[in-house]
Amino acid sequence: MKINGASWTTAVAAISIVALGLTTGCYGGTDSEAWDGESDGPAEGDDGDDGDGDGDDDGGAQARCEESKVGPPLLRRLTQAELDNTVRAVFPEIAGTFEGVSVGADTVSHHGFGNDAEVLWVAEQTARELLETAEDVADLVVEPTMLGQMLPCSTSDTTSTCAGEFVDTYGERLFHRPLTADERESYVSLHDEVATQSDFATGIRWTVVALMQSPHAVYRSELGVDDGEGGRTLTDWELAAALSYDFSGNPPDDALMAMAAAGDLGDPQTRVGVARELLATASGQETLDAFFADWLDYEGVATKTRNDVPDFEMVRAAMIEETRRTIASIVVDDKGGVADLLLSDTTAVNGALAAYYGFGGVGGDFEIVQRPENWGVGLLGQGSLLAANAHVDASSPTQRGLLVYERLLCLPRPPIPEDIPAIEPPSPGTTTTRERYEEQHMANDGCRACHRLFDPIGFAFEHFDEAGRFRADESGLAIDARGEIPKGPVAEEVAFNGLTELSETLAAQPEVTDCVSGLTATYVFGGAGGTSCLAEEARTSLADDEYGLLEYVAQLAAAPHFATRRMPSE
Amino acid sequence: MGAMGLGLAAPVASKVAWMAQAAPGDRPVRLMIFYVPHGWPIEHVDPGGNGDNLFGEASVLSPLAPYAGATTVVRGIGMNDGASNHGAIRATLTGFSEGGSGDSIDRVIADGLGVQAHVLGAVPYSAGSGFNVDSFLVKHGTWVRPTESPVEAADTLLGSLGGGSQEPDEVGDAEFRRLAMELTERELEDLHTKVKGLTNEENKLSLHLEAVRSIKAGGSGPNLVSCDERPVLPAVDALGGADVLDPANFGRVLDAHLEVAAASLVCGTAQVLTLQNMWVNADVPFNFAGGPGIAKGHHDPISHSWDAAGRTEFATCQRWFYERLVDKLITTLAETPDPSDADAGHSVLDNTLIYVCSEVSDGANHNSDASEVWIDGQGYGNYLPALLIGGAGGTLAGGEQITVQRTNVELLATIAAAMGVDSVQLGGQTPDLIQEVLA
Repeated sequence: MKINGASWTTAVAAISIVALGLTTGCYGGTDSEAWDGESDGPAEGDDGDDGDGDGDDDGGAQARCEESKVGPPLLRRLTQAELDNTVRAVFPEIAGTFEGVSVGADTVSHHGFGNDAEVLWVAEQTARELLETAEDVADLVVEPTMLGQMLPCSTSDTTSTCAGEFVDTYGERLFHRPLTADERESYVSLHDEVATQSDFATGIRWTVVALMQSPHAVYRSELGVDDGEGGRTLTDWELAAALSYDFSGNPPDDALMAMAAAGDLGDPQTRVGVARELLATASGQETLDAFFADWLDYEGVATKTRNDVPDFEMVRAAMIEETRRTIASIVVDDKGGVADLLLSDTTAVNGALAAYYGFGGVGGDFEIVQRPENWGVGLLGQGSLLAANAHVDASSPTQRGLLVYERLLCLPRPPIPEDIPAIEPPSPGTTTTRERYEEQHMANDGCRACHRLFDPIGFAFEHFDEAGRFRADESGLAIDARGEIPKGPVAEEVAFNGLTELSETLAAQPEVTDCVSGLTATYVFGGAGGTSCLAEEARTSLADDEYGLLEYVAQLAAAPHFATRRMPSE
Repeated sequence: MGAMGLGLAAPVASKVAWMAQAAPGDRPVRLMIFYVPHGWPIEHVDPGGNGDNLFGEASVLSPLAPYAGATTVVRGIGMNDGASNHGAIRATLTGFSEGGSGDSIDRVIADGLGVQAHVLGAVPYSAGSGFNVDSFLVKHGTWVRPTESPVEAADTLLGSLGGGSQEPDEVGDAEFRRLAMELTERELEDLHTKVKGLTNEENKLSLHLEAVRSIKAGGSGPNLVSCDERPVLPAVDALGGADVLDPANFGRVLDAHLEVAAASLVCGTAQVLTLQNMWVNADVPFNFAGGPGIAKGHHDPISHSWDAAGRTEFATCQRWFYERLVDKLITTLAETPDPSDADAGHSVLDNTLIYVCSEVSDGANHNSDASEVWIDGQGYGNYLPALLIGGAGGTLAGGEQITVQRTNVELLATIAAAMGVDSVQLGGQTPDLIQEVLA
């Protein structure tokens, strides 16, 4: 076979850079040799730099340091949910008729987080959506009865004075700080210029549009001010916005703005107190829900299909709700920690889910129930995660192993080399899933170099099928659910048999708590410009069981990064 | 849809604007990029392995048979920069792993032409997992989320022609909007100055500022506008308020997007346009309305199939994409004389370059290079899907197939050259051109 006189083999050599096991970031040698998966090769989507502009790599979310670090100053674009909450909080009069923001889905970072300042940018589509949203809000504001209600002076005074009153009130709410004199003048001038050519209400309409799409409303500033010692200190206004959005997804309310005006937020423990209060609200719960959903991507089950399981599509949404409620029960109601998330023997099911799983004994609505013995525990026994990390026609030890490897051990998925064939299709009743994976992944040195790191973790899930249900056997074949984590990802090789033992093993690994605490901080701080080691004291307290995850999140308000920053070159 | 439904203006007043900018002999060329995920089963594309029967009845490319004379399959393209497998989606239009240091080729070409690059997406990400690395195809300073809704796309691309879902502006709105945008622009400029030294924040605000300026200017693309009313868009109208991220609506959404794309290219309201189909590992079941009727996930198990039956199903699915492309876009472009071209003998297709691409070569083999894939004991020379459809204003060599040993970044630079944008920088480099492709 020739191409322009050259063979295909030559073409391959000219174009391909395949070198199995050597370009993967995984060690290709024997198990007894050193593991180097952590140092080689960035995670998918990771450029290898921590993104803080100093060119170093702080070691990933699981890294621990002697002291907490602080990241660079940031502008954090509001997420879709934060923008929606902001409209409703700033303009409560129209909240009942506002149909929602036009801004589309938030870009997801390489951590899987939808609130990362490094990827939440405003390109043209988003700018158009912000404008459309602003015009929608403005239309509602200037409806005749509404404007009179929101701005009483407008019924008798259509001068700049009344327009200025509007700018003062709603500008401060949108910018999370009083407007400067120049800013105020700019907005009043805009109003007057439009009103001169039309009428007062039209002037207000375009003032609302400009206020809403202002960068001071679209981004929340974490730029701070020069502290005179080479660092940056966030202002009280910035702290108020950070507290409110980080812990409730909302703009600061009047009480928090008053604390900012009084200069009360510089005190770390005051901030922690505010964070606790915000987390206890319904909005705070939604913020926590959003973190766990992004961290574990359990909502990914929403678009999965299982052709051989007709009931599956009927319970996908309930599986998501099960996981959300179960986590809330452990973290919020029971004040649990990482080990509790992994080891809880309860879950939240409704009647349909209980019947689907075979639990029985549950009526209509969701309730917290005891799991049947040996039918899994904790997060890893959640139907949403089990089904989201599986093939359409079979379980996937690789996907489930990677779930643990990436999300609980914070280890980077090695780059996938070229020419990797897909796994052979299942042969129900003839070959078990484990046998297929062992034959294709573990018996081949090239594949084994990477797959030995996570497939053996995934084998522990084999008593759960691709649709998230417990199975005693696999189409009549005995299931071998023994597995191990090799030395490297954890300090010493550990072995286990089945999902419960895997969960117990992980709960005992300090690396897991460090991973979860690191990812939590990364999320709360909107990526922190890629900086790790953001809250070392609080992470140690969490690891020492001094408090659970809910209090850990609140304690992040006291972390140095919350109130201070450093310039990238320093 | 022929010219009858397109609301073409006569006389074409704005043609004068284009002709004034164009050098003598230039033709008004459009670019359309059509991404189809996860490669193809090569034995169903190039069964003889020599490119002799690429458009035969059994081929994935058979829907293109009526346009074989306007189609070139570039055989032997492999991914640049070692980008491979699922991660290669980020290199497909940038030429470099993780997107490298620059923009994707659509933006580079649009900048060269002084127009705007538009991005549409038919279910371009999973509603559950969101717009993440598996969907990152187009990069304009940052990864661009495609416009998911054909209704919104029609409003953006064809709204200037009237109609659509947008309410008409009140008197004075355009001027008042401009005043508001000016204030936003000033604030962005001031804030940009304030963050000096914070490279990431500077870049963030630069992109935002650029977007606001473009909106304020009314978009920078419609050099060719040649329609005086919004074309008829039956697939868009039929979509109504359907959930555009629901995989069950994929076929309807793709048809509607293709309809918008075709109308925009004909009317000249878009000159550079990308349509992203799904994402790299989309398990969208292919039994949606109007689809090929295969009740299995596109990525898994269909594209991963090694057995003959499975690969035939994969071929059926990939052929369906070409059927839709032909039915809803190519036919329209071919049947419509280019209203922006002084030569009435040129159709819009004659003046358009449609680039069909993917991130992997063979779905089951998971390779992104040009190499051999073995099917039932027979080796087939496999390569990245890379098709150039349309006349591109006479800048392409033509011919049903060209066989090379080159990388996608070189093909991207060559496409830019065909579009009249020379010596492009991609990832800080100036790739060599594939001269065999050019006229």
